[in-house]
Amino acid sequence: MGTLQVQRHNYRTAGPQGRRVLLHVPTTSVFELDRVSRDLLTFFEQREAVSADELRSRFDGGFAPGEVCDALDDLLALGVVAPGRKIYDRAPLQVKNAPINTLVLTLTTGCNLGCSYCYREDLETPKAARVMERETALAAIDLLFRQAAGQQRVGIVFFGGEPLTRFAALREWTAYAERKASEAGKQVDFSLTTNATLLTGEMIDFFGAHRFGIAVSIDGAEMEHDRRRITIGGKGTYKLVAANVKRLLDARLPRPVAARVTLTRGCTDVTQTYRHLHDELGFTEVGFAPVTAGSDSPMVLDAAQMRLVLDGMKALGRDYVLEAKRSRPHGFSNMNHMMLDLWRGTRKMLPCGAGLGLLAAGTDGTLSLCHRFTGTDFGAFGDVSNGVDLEKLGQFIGSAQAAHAACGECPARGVCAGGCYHEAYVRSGDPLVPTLAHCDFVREWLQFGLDCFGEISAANPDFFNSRNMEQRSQR
Amino acid sequence: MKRLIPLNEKARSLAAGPEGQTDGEARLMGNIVGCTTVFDPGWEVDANGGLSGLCQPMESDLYGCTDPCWWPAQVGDSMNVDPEWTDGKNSALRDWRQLQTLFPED
Repeated sequence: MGTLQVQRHNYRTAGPQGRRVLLHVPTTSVFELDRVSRDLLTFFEQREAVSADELRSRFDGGFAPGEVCDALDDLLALGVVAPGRKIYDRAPLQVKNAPINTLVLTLTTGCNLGCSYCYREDLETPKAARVMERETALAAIDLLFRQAAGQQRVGIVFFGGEPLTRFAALREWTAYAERKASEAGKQVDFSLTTNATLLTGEMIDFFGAHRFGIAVSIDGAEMEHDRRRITIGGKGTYKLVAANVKRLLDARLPRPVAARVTLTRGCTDVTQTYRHLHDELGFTEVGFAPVTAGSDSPMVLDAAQMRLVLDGMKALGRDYVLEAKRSRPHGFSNMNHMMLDLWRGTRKMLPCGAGLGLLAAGTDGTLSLCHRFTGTDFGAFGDVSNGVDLEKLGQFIGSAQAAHAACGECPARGVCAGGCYHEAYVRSGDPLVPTLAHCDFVREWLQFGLDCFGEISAANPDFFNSRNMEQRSQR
Repeated sequence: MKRLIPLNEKARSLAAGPEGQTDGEARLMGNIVGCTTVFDPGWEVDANGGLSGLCQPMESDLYGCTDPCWWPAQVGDSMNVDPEWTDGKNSALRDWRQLQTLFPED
């Protein structure tokens, strides 16, 4: 007689307060197990392979046969147990056209700071910088509206170098994009990543009036921030940034202002940094990312430091759960993203929208996968005047969908899909080789997220109603 | 899903199934079989609580179950696997003792 075997690669469970939540890995659906299905799954996990007789003798008298059969049907339907090895493969989708809804404009390669960890290969001082000409920018915006034919909303991201070194141009191109948008009957959203050192009252008013989403690069309190975020001359920038941020936040812009923290060796205290940036400076959201650098770089986080970061993120995540149980928002951006992914059931075939909805225009108008690839040797995917190189982009997106061997049975494959192309490119020279040093981190963070998701949905299911979650996703 | 409770949007859409998909309809069988479709009393007692007053001998149930009703748990399945079980033993009253016990072949 045949047996059913547990298919561990197709699910993960989490168990807050004795209740078990099941993540179905192939679809990122999350289910709550009831007493019958929980006991049934535990039985399968203890035995690996189970026959009908074993099932009968284990559950006879415990539960009604109908209950056990129903639970077994559910587990079979999800491929959590199966008579043989059950794999869900999806054929890669072909790229036949390239709708873009977000375009990153590299205003300049110049920056007034000389942060020691900057990943930009083409970074210059403002004086020596290459800047985007007016014609290039307008052609880029035209391209965005052409490629966004079917989209109701488009986004323009101003990037650099430091985009505020070219505020006059930024203002003019914003107006041009708004004109194009009203002609096309679309809505255009603007956003900006800045070091905030050049921010003036005039700029703040402008960003408020045009509903800019702003992310400020800031690494924490003065000591942490000034270690790496320094002027070209080598001086710390915290005092100036903090003063400007205060004015920016006091202006109460229509969209929340986020802090983006880069974690490097020696700067790993997530909780303290969050407390400072959120509680003391007043940022609405704070997001953390480890520095992008080759593994031999003295700044890159080693395993011990990654451990510190993850422990800190979990501590802050517990804080998030406490607030969520009382229906209060929390500004820990990484956790918000995780909860949003788990609530929606995001199942990624690709790690991000680079090349698929998002492209970046370099100062000379060449198109890159994303802002991180402009100015690298990775190669262009067309340019703003001749349009997107569909064949090349299609090839890249096609091969990016083929899961790397290391991802095949990874429980995080649906929410990670191999990780950042640029991170991989910097570490290995190939954007499609996952950064394996991050894998354990990603898996443990997902497991933690699943625990928290289960705990919040048990204690306060209303936290995950669609209105709340859509609001959170607007950030 | 019958016992798993969807907790996120994806699980809800998975449990709901593709749009427009419904379960297959239940249909009546084309041919009529079974003891409920014919008047075939049996397994009863008479007005006095005994068996002698029944209009058919109680042994007729052995035949009643195996032919029109297919109740293989108690009698031979003469519709599918043992069609010859009652051959030559056609009278319930006279021949029932000759009905043999059946054993599965393997």
